[in-house]
Amino acid sequence: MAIFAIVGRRLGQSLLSLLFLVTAVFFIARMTGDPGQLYLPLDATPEAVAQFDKAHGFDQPAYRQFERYAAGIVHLDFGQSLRREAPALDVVFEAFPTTVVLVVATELVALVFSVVAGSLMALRPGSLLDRAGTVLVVAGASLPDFWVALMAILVFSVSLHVLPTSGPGGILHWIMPVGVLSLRAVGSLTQVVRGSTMEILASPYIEAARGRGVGNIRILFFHSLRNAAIPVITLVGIQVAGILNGTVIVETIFGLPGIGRLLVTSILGRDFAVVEATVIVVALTIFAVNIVIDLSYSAIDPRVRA
Amino acid sequence: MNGRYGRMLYRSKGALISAILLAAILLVTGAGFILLRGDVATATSFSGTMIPPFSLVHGFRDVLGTDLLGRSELFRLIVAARTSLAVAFSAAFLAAAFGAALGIVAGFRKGFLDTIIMRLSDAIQSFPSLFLAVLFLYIVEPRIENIVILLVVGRLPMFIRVARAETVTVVNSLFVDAARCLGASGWWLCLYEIAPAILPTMLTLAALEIGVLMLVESALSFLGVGIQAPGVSWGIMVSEGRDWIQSAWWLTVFPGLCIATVSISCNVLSNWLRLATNPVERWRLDTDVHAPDVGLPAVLPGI
Amino acid sequence: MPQLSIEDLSVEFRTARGTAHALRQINLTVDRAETLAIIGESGSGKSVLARTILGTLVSPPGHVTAGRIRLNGIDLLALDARSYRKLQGDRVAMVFQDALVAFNPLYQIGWQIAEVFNIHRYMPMKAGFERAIGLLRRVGIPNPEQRAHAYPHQLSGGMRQRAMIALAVALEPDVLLADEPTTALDVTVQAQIMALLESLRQETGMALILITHDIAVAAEVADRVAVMYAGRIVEEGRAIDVLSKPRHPYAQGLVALASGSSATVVAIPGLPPDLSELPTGCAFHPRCTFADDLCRRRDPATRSIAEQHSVACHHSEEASADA
Repeated sequence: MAIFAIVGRRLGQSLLSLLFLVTAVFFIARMTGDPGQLYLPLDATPEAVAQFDKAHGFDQPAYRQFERYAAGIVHLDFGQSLRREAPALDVVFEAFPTTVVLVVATELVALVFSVVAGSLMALRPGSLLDRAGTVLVVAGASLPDFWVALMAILVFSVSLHVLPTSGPGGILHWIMPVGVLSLRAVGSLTQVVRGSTMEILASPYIEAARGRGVGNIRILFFHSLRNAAIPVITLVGIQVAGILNGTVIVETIFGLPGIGRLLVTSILGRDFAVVEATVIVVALTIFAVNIVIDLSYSAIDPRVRA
Repeated sequence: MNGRYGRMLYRSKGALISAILLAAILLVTGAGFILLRGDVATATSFSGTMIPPFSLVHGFRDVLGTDLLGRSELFRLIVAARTSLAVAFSAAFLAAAFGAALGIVAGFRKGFLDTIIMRLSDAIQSFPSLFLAVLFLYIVEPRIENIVILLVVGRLPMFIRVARAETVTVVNSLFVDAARCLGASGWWLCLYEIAPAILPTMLTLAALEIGVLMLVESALSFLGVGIQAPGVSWGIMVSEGRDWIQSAWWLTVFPGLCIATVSISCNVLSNWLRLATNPVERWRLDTDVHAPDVGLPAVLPGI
Repeated sequence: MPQLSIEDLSVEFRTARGTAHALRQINLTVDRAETLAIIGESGSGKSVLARTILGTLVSPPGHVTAGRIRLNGIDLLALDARSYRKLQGDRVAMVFQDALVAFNPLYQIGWQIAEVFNIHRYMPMKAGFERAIGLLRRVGIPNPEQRAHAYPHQLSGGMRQRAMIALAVALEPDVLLADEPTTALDVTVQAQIMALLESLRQETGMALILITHDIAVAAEVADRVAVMYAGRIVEEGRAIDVLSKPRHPYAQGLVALASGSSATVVAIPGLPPDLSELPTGCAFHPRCTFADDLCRRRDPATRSIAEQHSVACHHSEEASADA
C-alpha cells in the first residue's frame, strides 16, 4: 500500500517534467536539420532526398510527425534507427547494460570508499588523516574528468602498459573508466559521510548509548551508520544524474558502447529516433532510481513511514 | 573590516594559496589581453613544431612546448584563459543573479509561483544536463553567448534552491516582521532586507560554481560542442592534444592543469568563504585553534 | 561503606578560548538507598559532574585533573575504557533530560532496552525484549507488549521518560544519575516521574543522584542536598537542614526565591561567572552581600559547621544570623 503511495507521489511530481521532456526532445531533434539531406551522401539528387524523406515520413508536416511519434511512444515504439536497421528502442537497450554496469559499479566503489574514509575521518577529526583526506578528496572531485581519463591512459596504458586503453572487455577494461567516473562521486560522498557521522557522534543518543556501555564498534555499526545513511542516500540519488553526465565523456574516451556514447553518435548522425529513445529511457531510469531512493527512506527511517 | 578578512585569509593556508593562484592567473590573463595581441596564439611556425617543454629553443615563448603547428603552448594557454575564465565568471554571475531573483520570489511569495519555479527547477536538475547540453548545442550555433546561456540554465536550479531556502529562513525571522511593522512593502523588503541577507551564501555558492562551470565548459569544448576553433579555450586544447597524447604529452597536461587549478582553488575558496561570512563559524578562522570542521560544504561539487 | 564516594574531584575543559574550571575539588558521598539532590543553575558544573561519574566526559577537551571516584570501592578513574564500559549501564546509569534525543530514533524502544541485556548479560535479543516488556510494565506504561515495538517519536513525553527510566534501571544499577529528569515535562507528569523514581529506589536500594535546578523537586524527594556554584559545592547536608536553614548566601538566595513567600521578589544580583575567567577568591563574592576583602582574596575551604552539614564560606555565621 505504502509503495503505491510513494510511486504515485513521484509520478505526480515527475509527470510534468516527463511530458515536457518528451515534447521538447522531439522538436529539438527535428530542428537540427533535414535528415534526408544530412544522411545521404552530398551528391545525392533532390529526388533521392525526397524519396528518402517520404519513405521515413519526414515529408509530413510537423504536427503529423508528432502525432505519429506520440502514438508510437505510448506503444513504446520509437521508430527505426536511421543508422542501423533496427528499432530505435532496441538500439538503446543494446547500449543500456554497459552504462548500467558502469554507473552501478561507480556508485558502489564510491560508497564503499567514502563510508570507510568518511567514518575514519569523523572518528579522528582534525587529524592528519582527516585533513589530508579532505584535501585529496576535494581535489579529486574538482579535476576535469576528461583530462583525468587522458592522464590515466597516459600513465597506465602508454607508459606502464598495465591497463588497456579502451574497448569493452574483462575487468581490466573497466578499472580506469570506473576510477575516473567515481572521482567526483567520492568527493562529495566522503564529505557528506564525514559531516553526517560527526554530527551523529556528537548527538545525545550516542552519548546515552555510551553511557550504557555500548562499545565503539557497535556504536558505529548499529547506532551511527544507519542514521548517517539518510543524507548519504539522498546524495546518491542526486549523483546518478551527475554520473550519467560523466558517462558521456568516459564512454567516448574509453570506447565503451554505452548510452552516453550512443547519444553523441546519434546526435552527430542525425538519428532522431535513437536520440529520442535515449533521452526518454534515461528519464525513466532516473524516475525509477528516485522511487527506489524514496522507498529506502521508509525502510530506514521509521519517522518517515506515515 | 577588510583587515579582518585579510587576517582570516592568512590563517587558512589553503585558502590563501588558492587566492594567490587565482589572482596570479587573472593577472597573467589580463596582461596577456594587453600584450599578446593579434595572432600570437595562432601564429604557426614550421621551424619549431612539437618541441617539448622546459627547453628554450626559441626563447621564452617555447618554455611550455609547441604543438603540431608550431604554436606556442604558453601563449595559447594564456589566450585560452580569457575565454575559459570569461565564460565561467559570466555564467556564474548571471546564474547567481537570476537564481537569486527567482529564489527570492519563490521563497517570499510562496503559493503557485513557488510551486512552478520549484517544479521547473527540479525538472532541470534531475536530468543529466550534459545530455541536453550536447543536444542543444548541436542545434544552435555553438557561439559563446549560447554556451553561456546553456550553462546558466543548467546551474540555475542550484542557485534558486539555495536562494529560496535562505529567503524562507529570513522571512521567518523577526527582523522582517519588524520591518513590516514599520510599513515596509514587499519590494522594499526583497531588495533591502532579504537580498543583502542572502548575499554571503550566494557569494559562497557563486565562488564554487565558477569552478564547476569551468569544468562543464571545458567538457563541452572537449566534446566538440563548446567553443569552436579558431577560438581557443583550455577544453579545446585538451581535445586537440588528445590525438598526440603519446608523442606530445604536454599538449594535454598543461591545459588540464590550468582547469584543475582554477577548479580546485574555487572549491577551497568557497569553503573558506562559507566559514568567513558566517558569524557563527567565523571563530574557526579567527583563532589559533585547530578545530575540526564539523560543517558540511555549502554545496557539493559535481555536475 | 558509601555506595559512591567522590574525593577532591577536579575537571578542566581546555579549549582555544581558555581553560574552564568546570569542577573544583568536589567531595561527595552517597549511601545505599539514599537520594542526593545536586542543586545548581546552568554553568554550575552539575551536568559535568554527572557525566564524569558516568564516564562519558568527552576527553579532549575535558580532563580530570585530580581526584577519585569510588563506586562500591572500585576506583572508576583508574579503570581502562573496557572495564569502565562493563560498569556503564550495569552498576551506574543515567536518566537524561530529553528522552526524545536520548533514544536512537531509528530503533524500537524494546530493542534499545534489550540491547543492554545483550551487552551486559549476553542475553539473546529476543529474551531481552521480553525483559524489556516487563520493565515497561513496571514503570507504568500501559500496554507494554505493544509499546515495546514503538519508536521513540511515537510516545508521549511522559511515557518516553518512563521508558528511559526503564532503560536505566534495567540491570538494577548501584547508582542512578538523573539529570533534570522532569524539566521537560508537565507539572502533573513531573510528580508521577518523581514518584516512580522514589519507588524504584526503595525497591532496589540503589543510590539516586538527582540533578536539578528546581528546589521544589529536590525538597520532595531528597535525603541530602548539595548546592553547586561555579564548579564547587558551596553547601552540603541533610535536605531538612540545607533547605530550611541554608548557611551559604547563594543557597539562601535560591531558597528564598523558591519559597516565593516574600512580597517583593528578591533576586540574586549579577550573573554566574565564566568558568574560564573565575573571580579571585570566592567565586560568589561579586554577587554576595556579605563579601569583604577576605572573600576577594581567598577561596573559602569547606568547613563542617554541624553534624553532616558543611559550607564553603567565610561568613556563614553572619549569613545565617541574618536569614
